[in-house]
Amino acid sequence: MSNAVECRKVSFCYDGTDKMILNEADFILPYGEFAVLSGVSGEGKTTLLSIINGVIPFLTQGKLTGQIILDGEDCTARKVSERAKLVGTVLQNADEQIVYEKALDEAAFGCENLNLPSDAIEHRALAALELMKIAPNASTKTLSGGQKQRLITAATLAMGQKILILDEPLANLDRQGSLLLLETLRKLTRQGYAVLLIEHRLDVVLPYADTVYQLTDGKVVRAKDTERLLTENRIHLSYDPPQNRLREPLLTLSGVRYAPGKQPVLKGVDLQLSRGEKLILLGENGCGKTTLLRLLARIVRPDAGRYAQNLIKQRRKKRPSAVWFQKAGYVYQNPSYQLFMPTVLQEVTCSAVSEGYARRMLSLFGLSGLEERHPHSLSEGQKRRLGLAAVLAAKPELLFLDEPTVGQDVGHLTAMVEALHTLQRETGMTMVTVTHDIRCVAALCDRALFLQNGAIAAEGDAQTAEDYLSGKFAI
Amino acid sequence: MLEKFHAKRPLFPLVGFLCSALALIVGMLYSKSLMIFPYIAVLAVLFAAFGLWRAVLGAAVMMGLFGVLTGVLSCLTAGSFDSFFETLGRCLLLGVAAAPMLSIPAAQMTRCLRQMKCPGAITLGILVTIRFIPVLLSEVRQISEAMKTRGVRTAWYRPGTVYRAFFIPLTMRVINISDSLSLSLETRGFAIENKEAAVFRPVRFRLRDALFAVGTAAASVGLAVMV
Repeated sequence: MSNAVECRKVSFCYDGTDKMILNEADFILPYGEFAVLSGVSGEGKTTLLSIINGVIPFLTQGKLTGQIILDGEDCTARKVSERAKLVGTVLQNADEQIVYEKALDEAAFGCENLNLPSDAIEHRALAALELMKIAPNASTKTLSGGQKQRLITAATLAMGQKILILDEPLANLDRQGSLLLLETLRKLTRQGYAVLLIEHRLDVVLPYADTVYQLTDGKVVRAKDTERLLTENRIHLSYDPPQNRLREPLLTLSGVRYAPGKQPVLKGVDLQLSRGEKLILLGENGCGKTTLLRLLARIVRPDAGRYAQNLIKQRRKKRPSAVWFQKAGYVYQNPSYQLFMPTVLQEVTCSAVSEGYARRMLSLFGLSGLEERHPHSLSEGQKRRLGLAAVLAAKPELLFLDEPTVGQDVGHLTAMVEALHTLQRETGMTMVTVTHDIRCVAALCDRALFLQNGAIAAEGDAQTAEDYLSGKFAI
Repeated sequence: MLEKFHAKRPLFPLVGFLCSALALIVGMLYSKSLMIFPYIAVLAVLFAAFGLWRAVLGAAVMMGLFGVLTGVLSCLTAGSFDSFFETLGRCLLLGVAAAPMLSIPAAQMTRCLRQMKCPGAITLGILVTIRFIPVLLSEVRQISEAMKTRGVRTAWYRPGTVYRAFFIPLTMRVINISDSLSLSLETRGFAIENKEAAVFRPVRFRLRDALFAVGTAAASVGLAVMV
């Protein structure tokens, strides 16, 4: 039987640079194998996937040499849509890829392009949606980030190609969603499929994977000692809780309800946040975590219930003033929205208390040396750290973080969490974080709230939060 | 965002598209006459009767407000009330005429074009356009929010700040989204030259589509005769 994927002596460099991302790299993925591609951000993992599915060189330009063989056929000259008959691809940034308004239509789209019979399309689309726990008639507009990721994954699985390549598909998924996807992929490989998955969180994927590959000096190298790799990547960041903290209430929600459409997203939330506290919001995809975070930050207003704050003095004004956002920093899940200055240094200094403090933020978040770069020319991980540095440079008293660690490798994650911890200890700022990342949940948590169907279902401490993300505690 | 404009029983997409085009072209030809207002009213009632009342109401209100604003400006520059009514009429017409088009889900439009063996380039163009309007509106909202969270306030006397904090992120987002969308379409097998794509749940031409087309055509002929 032929291999699923064979890359022979593949070399590649992007247009406008001389740096060889891949240098005469060889890679073989047989059918029946679940392979993980891991390593440091920016080493070329997504580039390898793009070469396999044909995005490089047909949509992204660069100098490519070597041979790409898929299912035993030389596909080097075949376009992306032709290779799509053999290779199913799940890309990053699910919310930018959705075409239709209804989940069933979205899941059926790829099958229609492959010219499958109508009955088969319906059967496959419904089965894939059921597997990923998405209602067929769900409106794609109202899905959460994690649910959109599940939908795009379902749309690819419905197409039924026997070679699957997935670029960080677990990034926004909750624990149940991640395990469900990994179980499914393992089951598929046992049925003869070939799976190649990019993921930073090796501790999550290694129990399911057959092999691990890493990119080193432009070559794809099979990791021999996976146990060592697991030990290196299994980090656990936590800090002792502060003693004698004041319990002055900063934000109070009483019976808060929020319903932007027909269905309420938040139903009667009661919450008190104390000054200097580190609060974590946990729960399944679509339970209302980001909405609650936005409501706490006064980006959206509740439809019913009471919201009270002690951060600034404000006379009965319903809309938050500029002073509010100077004291309450909000870091978006997608950093591109918040970056607008021509250089990295200006981005941080424009809201900083001083230039010296801005430079310190750049150093703390591993951005020194990039001061003159344009913010939008940075990698996604760097942009995320820059967004964080820019917001923190204003010395906020209250900080809201929406999935801050997505796409960060172990080194950058550790540096980011340690920087947040240092600043929190120095300034006494209050932090509210939404995350699914077990590696750092304890470090970002004094208290955890567990949301279910738009309401707070349980409360716990850092240990409970870890237990929840590791499956030892259920709501 | 356009989802709220969708009718419970959508029109046959091509009928919706052609009726929108017909209403707009005929209306613009006679937009200097005050008869344009009864024409718009007849169209609005007809479209609402076919279940498009959400789209009619939303688009008419939005374009009506825009029409009043631009009408006043036009009146001030031209120095006559006629130009106010002409501008208002054109804006209202644009809103009401767009209603049949706005009420069609993207999936139905794509399937209709595929059923009719329309060239892939046209299907792709229409699909991306329909997809991009709500995306653009949503991005504008998100970036405005993000500007506030970074302490940037929009003010007409600070165009430089608005340009930097609004248009740069918006441009970058539009470029990123169009890149991701085209990658997503191609990796899911969509190709311009693909003539063999299947149609899941084909859309069908019904009697009500014919009645809708006849009604729109009759209103347009009526306008031409009256003027």
